[in-house]
Order: sequence, then structure tokens, then C-alpha cells
Amino acid sequence: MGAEPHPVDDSEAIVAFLRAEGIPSGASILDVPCGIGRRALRLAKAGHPVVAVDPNEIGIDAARRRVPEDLRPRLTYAAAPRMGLPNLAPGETFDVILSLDHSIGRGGEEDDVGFLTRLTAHATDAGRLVLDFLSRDYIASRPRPFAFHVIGNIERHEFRRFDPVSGILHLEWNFYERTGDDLTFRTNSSVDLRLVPPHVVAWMLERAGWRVSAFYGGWDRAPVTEGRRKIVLVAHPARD
Amino acid sequence: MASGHWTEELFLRHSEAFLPIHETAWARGEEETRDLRALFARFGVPPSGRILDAPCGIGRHATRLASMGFRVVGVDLSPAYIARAKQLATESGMGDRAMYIVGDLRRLSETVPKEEAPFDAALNLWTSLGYYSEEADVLVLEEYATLVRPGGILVLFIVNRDHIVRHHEPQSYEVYGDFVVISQERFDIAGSWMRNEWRFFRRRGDDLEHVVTVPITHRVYSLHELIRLLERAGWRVEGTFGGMKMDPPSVDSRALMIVARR
Repeated sequence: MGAEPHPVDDSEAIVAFLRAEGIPSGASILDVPCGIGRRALRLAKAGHPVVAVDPNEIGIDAARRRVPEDLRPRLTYAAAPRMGLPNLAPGETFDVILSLDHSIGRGGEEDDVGFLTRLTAHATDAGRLVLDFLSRDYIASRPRPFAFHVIGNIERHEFRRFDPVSGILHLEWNFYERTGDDLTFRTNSSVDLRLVPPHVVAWMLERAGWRVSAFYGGWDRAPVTEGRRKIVLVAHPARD
Repeated sequence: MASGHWTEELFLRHSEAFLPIHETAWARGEEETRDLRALFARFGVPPSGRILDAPCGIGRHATRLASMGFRVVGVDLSPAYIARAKQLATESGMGDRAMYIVGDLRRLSETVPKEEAPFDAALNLWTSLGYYSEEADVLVLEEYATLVRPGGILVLFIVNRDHIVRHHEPQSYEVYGDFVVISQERFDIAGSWMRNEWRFFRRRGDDLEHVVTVPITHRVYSLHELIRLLERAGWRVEGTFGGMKMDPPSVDSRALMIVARR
């Protein structure tokens, strides 16, 4: 089946991206939000000390249980609301802050600027923010209303609706368990994502104390084109 | 999974899965048939002329054409759809003006009673070409030619390959009454084939009960290829359109409508 690759299945590509950016395996990482922690686990395996934070406590509990003994010293999971970064001293800093899966655009612009400003305080002077977000131009020009993904025996149906006036992408997910060929409904969820073009993201980062050094069309570091669904940017703290 | 050709799997063995799609399309047949009548007028089909609609499905065009005064023969591979077409025609009071017959497009001339031919127009609608091979498509187009009178027309309404290139949706989710169809579609650009997998489900509360999964493989053509196919089968193309409304065709036309004269 040619289903779309599942969006969380990009851990290897991220490790390769960090190396291509000249980030060594010992560099410390703050991964926020970390989702179910799959990437954080892979990054810890690659040698990074990682602190991974997500508001979903169930996901964080499950992530903790998956950590092998030998990785525990350098992989910490924490459950916290989006604006909270627990267990971090105010001055605790990281070489890399990963903020992935369109972590911006969940609320208004001021909310995003506040979130990004909080992250600035946890970057070293030479630290980097790696942020990804959905390309507004891609979504606007390809209004695909439906996609399904298969993850193990779970089939996720995604229904999409994009409003070009507000820039809101409304996503609804139905989760089914595959029982033979039948699909047994398990749960559903939805989210509204505000999509903004790269120059607006750069402007928000500037307000939050970051300076963008590169935009890419994905983890392969290809140029941004209208055909790229995800945009990845790298920013540095603007501390002169 | 299907063992024979997908058309047999879908239209014969699991005709009940595709029937809701026909039933859902029935309502829009009203407007489409008015568009066809306008096309007939433009291309000189007499107001009470003889029309061959093959494949006809449940007769959403054929029965309505009959109610407009045309004498119509509808042919479809599926006995279930023909039975439903007869029922709907009878309910519309058109039982005596619309004849419905089970048959294969590749053997149309054997299927249609001799006394019903020749026809003033033949219809091949809803992407009903490209199911087997290019040679089979030429054969089908020749079959129409044996049944249409000299000077009569063939109307082809079919998905536009160029639209697929620009707008292809790899996955879709459609609701037809109690049925849900989830498709995974792949455009095989080398041979210009759509290689699709359609999963049919029946809704049971929030759950989806699997009915059948059918691999649907069909050739898709660009306009110039369709013109060449028609010419190979002895037709002369007189009109090319971007849909039922007879708008000009473009690469963005979802479907093409072509009028060819014998």
C-alpha cells in the first residue's frame, strides 16, 4: 500500500540533519513538544543527552517505560503544559532545541511569540533552534481532504479542511483498530493549526529573540519550494 | 481479494457494494440528462431518436432520456443494476420506452436485439473505457459503430489523464448511504494506468465493517489519445469538451466529453 509515510517516522532523517548541520553526537538537546518520544529515544541512542517534554502525560508515561537502562542517564522525559518547562533551572541551556510537528500555530501569534521567547532562555549562546512547520503554500495549493495512515494495527483517518482566509487548517482524526479487514473505532481527536508563510515565522522568531539562519524544504536540507510540505528552519539566539 | 477481473468482482460478485454509489449518483442524473439533451440538439440527434446507453448502471440517464421522448436501450454487465434500472424505469412510468439488457461492452452487437438498431446516438459515460487494454477499447468503440447509423454519434464521457497528472489525490474517503469507500490510488505513469485499491465498508455505529476490497486498475487517456482511439475505430471526432456543460477542454478539466460521428 502506498499510504503516506507516517509523520513521526523521521527520526533517522533528523539525526542525519543534525550531523549535516555540524552538530556533534554529544550536543545536548531539548525536545519540546516531544510527542510520544520516539525521536528523543533515537537521539539519545545517537549519543545526545536529551530532555523531552510534552503535555500528554499518557504518552510521556509510555515513553518512559520504553527507555532502556543504559540510556536512562542521558534521556529525561517530562510531562508539562506547553508553556511550562519543568525540571529545568532558569539558566539550564541546551546546544539544540527541537520544536517539531508544527509546534507553533496552536493558538494566536502572541502565544507563539511567548512560547518561542521561553525557548530562547534555554539555548546556549552558540545554540540552535530547529523548528518545523507545515508549508501554508503547499496546503493551500493541495487541499487534500483525506489521508489514512497505518501504524501497527491502528489505522488513522485524517480529515483536513483549510480555510485560506483565517489560515486555519482543521484536522480531525479517527483512530481504528484493524480486526482482520474490519475497522473498530477506538477514539478521535482534532486540532486547529494556524498556518503562516516562512517570512511570518521568521518575524515571530525575531520578536522572540531568535535570528533565522536557514530555511529548508525538509530534513534533506533541500531548498524551500512550493512543492515541499514541511519547512525546517534553523535559528540562533540573537544575543549581541 | 479478487480472483477474476476486477469488473466481475465489483459489478457481479459484490454488486451490492457499488450499488450505493449508483444510487447516490441517481439524483444528479436529472441535470446531466438535460445537458445530454442539449448536446443531442447541437449534434443533430432527432428529439425522439434511438439512444444506446452502455454501460447504463441503474439507468440514471437512460430512464430520464426515455421520459424526454427518446427510445432507449440500456446495457450493463451487472444483472443487479439492470434489475434496479428496470424497477426505477417502471416506477417512472418508462418501462415501455426504456429497454434494459445484461451484457458485456465487448460483445455489444451480440447483446442488443437487431430490431432496436440502428441508433442515432450511443453513450459511453462515467469512465467506462480503459478497463481491459487499449486493443479492447478500440474493439468496444468499433462495437458502438456497428450499432449506430451512418451520421449518428457516439458520446464519450471519461476521466481526463491530464487532470490526474496535476490534481491526483492518492487517498479518498467517500460516504454513500451506509457505505464508506476508502481508496488508495496510484498513478502508474509509465503505462498510464490508475492502480487503485478500493475498500468498501458498511457503517456499524462508529465501526467500519469490511465488505470487500477490490483492486481497480484502468487505463487513463489524454484527449489526443482518445481522439486517436476513436479514429482507429472508424469515428470522426466533431466535438471535444471539458464536461457535460460543453465547456472548452483543458488540462484542469476533471472529465472530458467527446462527440464523434460515424
